[in-house]
Amino acid sequence: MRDPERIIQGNVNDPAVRLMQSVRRDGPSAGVRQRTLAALGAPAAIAIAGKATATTLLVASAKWLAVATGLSLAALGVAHNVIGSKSPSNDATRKAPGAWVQDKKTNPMPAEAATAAASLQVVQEIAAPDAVATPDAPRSERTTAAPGRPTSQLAREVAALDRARAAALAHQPLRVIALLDAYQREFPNGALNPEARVLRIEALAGSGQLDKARALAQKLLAADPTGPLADRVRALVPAGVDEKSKSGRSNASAAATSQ
Amino acid sequence: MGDRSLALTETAVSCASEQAEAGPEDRIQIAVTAHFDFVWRTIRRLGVEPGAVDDAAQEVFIVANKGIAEVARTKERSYLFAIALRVAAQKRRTQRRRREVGNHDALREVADGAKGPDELLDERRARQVMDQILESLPLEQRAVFVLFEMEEMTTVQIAEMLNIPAGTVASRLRRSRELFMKAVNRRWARDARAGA
Repeated sequence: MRDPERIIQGNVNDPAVRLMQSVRRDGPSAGVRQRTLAALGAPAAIAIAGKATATTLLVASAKWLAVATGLSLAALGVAHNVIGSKSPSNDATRKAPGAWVQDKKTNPMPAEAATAAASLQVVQEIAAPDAVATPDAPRSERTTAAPGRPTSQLAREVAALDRARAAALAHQPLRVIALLDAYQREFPNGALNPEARVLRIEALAGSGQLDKARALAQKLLAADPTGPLADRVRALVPAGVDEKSKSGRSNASAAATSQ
Repeated sequence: MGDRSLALTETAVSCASEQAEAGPEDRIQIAVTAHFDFVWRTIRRLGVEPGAVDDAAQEVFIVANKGIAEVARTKERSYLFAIALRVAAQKRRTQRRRREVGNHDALREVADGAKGPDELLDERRARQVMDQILESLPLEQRAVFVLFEMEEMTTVQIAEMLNIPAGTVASRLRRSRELFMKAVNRRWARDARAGA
């Protein structure tokens, strides 16, 4: 089957072509990628620090920010050579039609400096829950925000799932399931739902509830047999789950009620 | 294959050897380097308002950081796209609520400000018009349209990414192109009348 010609390859006087050309230049600024790298690196730095105090957390975050700045500057240099010419900055500078194909090399430093403070804030908000997410923490099973806790939904979701992961690492599958139940109640349409389901399968299997684990795995694989998490799901349950998933949708739906 | 798709492929290949030896923390950082632009554009074109795109793209990778260790290395981009769909859906819901509460509709402002065909060539305005038209496409068709027309992926690549048959991709693409062209022509005719 041959693909059709893309709209943008049509006559340049066609308004549809002009419209398509107008969005070709869309792309993020270098500073956004920088902030993301900083936010992602902070939990790792804190994990290494172990049971860090608030002060050392701040230091670790700041250190990471400095390291991330250096690393990602190098990475950005590489990325810019490979894809940078196709993803110019989303600045407000006007160019003549067709100018988007020209590579505009901009100095990313001002943007990085301007976002450094924001990065640290994001790092702290996302990272802070990790510092308290230990297996020995009081078993409140709460996922709602408390004073001093992260307030954005995503940060709270991340914190909730991190608590479940910590329980999994401590070989406490029943606690994992309880934490995932709490997560599910608070975030029925959460952004981390697929990851939570995989964690649940692992916990169900770990607690000896193999039938439930298998049924949930079948349900997930039936819905998305080649998805990005499918291999992991197959690895968590005994062989043959795929075959059963083809004829076992009714069983899976029963297990899904426990979600 | 288009330039953008080729560039992404090259990026993926160049990162493959790094990914093969990377730990979970390294994997997400390499994924940011390789796929951030793709995720950002996807979020933008799935209807998230310009001012919220940066945060949404960051959220995609924060979510991915929790699951990337469990994802096959060859499916990381597909995984990121799936998360981008979820995050964009959440953001759009928030946007709708905010518009209802604040009675503020940026798209309506664009429509009311229509002057004539020449202004359609204005880049900033053209982007707003594009947002408006994309917003009118059903999400499933919009995703295929964006991946094919803007990311310049082939229908086979899209089928693999979305885990759907190639025939389904082809039919969604056909329908989305029809809707897109109709919307553009309708808009063009209206602006022409307004400018006459």
